[in-house]
Amino acid sequence: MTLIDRARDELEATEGVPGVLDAAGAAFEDMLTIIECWEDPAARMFITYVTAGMIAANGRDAVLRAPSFPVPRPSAAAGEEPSHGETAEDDARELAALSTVIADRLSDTTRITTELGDRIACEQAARSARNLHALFMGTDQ
Amino acid sequence: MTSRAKFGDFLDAAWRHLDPVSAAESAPKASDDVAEVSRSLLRLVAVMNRYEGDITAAVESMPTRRRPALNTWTRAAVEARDALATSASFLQYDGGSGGRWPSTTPLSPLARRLDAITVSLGTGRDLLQTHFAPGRMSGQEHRSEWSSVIASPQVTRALLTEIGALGREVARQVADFALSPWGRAAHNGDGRRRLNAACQWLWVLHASTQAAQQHEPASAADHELLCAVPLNVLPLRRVPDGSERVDQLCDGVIDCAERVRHGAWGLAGRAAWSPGMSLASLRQVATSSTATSHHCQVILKALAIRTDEAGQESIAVDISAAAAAAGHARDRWLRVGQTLRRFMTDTSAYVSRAAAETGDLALWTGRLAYADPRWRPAHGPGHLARTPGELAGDLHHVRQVIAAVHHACETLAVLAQADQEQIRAGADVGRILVPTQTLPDDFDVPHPFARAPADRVDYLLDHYRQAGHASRQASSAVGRTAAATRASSRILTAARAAITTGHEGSVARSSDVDRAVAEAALEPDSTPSAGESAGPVERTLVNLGVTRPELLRQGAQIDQAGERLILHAAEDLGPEHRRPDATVLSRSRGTATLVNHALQSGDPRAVSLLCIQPRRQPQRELEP
Repeated sequence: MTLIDRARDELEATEGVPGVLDAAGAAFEDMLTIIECWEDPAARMFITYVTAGMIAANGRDAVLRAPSFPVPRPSAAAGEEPSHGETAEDDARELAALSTVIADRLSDTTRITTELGDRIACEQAARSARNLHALFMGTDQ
Repeated sequence: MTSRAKFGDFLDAAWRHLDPVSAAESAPKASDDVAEVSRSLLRLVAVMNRYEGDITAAVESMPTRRRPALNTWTRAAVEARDALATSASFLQYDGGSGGRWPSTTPLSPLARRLDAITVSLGTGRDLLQTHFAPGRMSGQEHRSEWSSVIASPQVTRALLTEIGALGREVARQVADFALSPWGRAAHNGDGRRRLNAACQWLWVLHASTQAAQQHEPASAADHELLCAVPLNVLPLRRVPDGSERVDQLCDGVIDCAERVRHGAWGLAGRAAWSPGMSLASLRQVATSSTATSHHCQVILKALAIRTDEAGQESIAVDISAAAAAAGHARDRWLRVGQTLRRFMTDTSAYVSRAAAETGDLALWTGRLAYADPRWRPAHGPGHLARTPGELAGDLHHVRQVIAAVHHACETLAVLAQADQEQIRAGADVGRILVPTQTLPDDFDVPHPFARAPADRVDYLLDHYRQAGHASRQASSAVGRTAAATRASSRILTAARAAITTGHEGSVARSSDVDRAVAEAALEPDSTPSAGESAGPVERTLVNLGVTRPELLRQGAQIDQAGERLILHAAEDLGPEHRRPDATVLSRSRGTATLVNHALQSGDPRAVSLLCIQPRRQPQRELEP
């Protein structure tokens, strides 16, 4: 199972505002791990991945600012060798798909949360996820 | 490229007004009126005096450690101010308009030309002043990256040299009129003498700058830098729409780079409180800088091929080296961006205008680098770089593209410095944070993020330092190709050297100034024509129609011997001996001609002929 698969499974399975925030934060972290693997100037999608790194970090930060974000847990990926796809294009598609899941779960959470700070954080993070999807799919403006 | 007005436009205009289109125009006219010419000269002297005042004020606002190296030119500026004040005192005798603009245009052609010079110089000064604002406590606040350049030793000496040279030429033309034996000047003995005395003090002004020039010469590069100072108005923000030609893309890169540098200026001063100092802004800058330097490398590689194909191997080698430097800068910026992912700030996702516009720079350089006219960062794999021929058809295009890349690389060096200072200032007030999960276990923080430990901040700053150094190296490497191809951006190198020299406080260490060029481009008045430099005896011979060289040489020798005798005698009197007022020395046309010639020579000893009066201020603030 790749980092992307695991992040997607966790996001889809989790319940409650703190759980979604926690899973979204971890998903952004996992995305950053994959992104760094393709930030190679010789790679064909170099600039796309560099830009994605910035957006994913901003999304992660937005989640961390949510008042309901749980007390930090150790990074799940710490010490593990990240596994990723064969090509930058393969991973771009996978990351685009994961971005959609993140955006959807955070948008759902925006609707159910009563805490203003959580809502703002979820909206910002969901926007970052949608931007990532557009970036990886080549549809950003 | 930028179409903003530059100081050189107004300086050139001033010199053009001093250069009559015909000999007939330069000769004193019967319609020239002493009173009109005196009033016009007073207005011009007032503007020149403001320039000198600006220079002394700029020096006074510098840290003390920077003052000693400027002593020569500071002294010249102070002496020049005194000379101008004395000159003005001879022109303020009628108590009339006092130098204010008349309600009607002067009838005298010479007065009109002097007024035109005053307008040009006054507007030029206004242009320089757009880079400064009144200081909160005293002095002047810098308002742009050019402020330090204007206050630099290089520009200071170039400006003083120009004012001195203008003063000399103005004095020559006005004194010719004052001593003309016919026309209306001849009927106003007192006014004529005062006018001539005012001119003599303009020669003193010139002599003071000449003395400084001999000690620390202003170079051609200094002059070029002075002339390149632009109006402090930003070009409009634009983004490419896909229809631009290569030359238009180059213009877009340069305009955008200037906007970004302007936006970066002064960021550190606001870092302690500004919401714009956010990790979102810092990440945007790092990401854009990575992309921009990558694009610069792509562009430079294509240019190296193009110049090599054109048989310019040495330039091609330099451009290849610049491409490698740009690639190194990209790698350093990438590391900065990756490191920033482990940090946060106390403000949320707000991205400052300055940071957002770095994204424009990445887009403009990307459009220049790639063949796809609608290239965007999200366009994924497979975008092709422009072919070398498509990028630069000939040497003119090579220059344009190099100028654009040079501006882009210079901007990245400025950004690295600005963001380092921002982070340092932000960290001092606890605005730089890290996610708690990245801290060691012994940090017991019940929040998702905490204040960044000092060693983490140092680690981040170290990456910035490396990115800044690599970007500076890239800018210098491209700057060398700009100098070799005479691209317009070479002025960036001179400006950088001026700022660095100012910071280091040593004029003598300005190694970037090409002394050989400097010597070749010294004052145009260092080789005056025979007619202008002739003394009274030689000039009389010329006017008689004598052309035999030995007779003219003999006349010149008699002039020089007479001049030496007068100067020696004046020096021999000692400083305690009170000299007659300058108007006394202008009473007889023959005496005035002799004294004028001695002063015109630029020999500092000639000042000993004149009565040094206590420094006088103009009676009222003049409104040129």
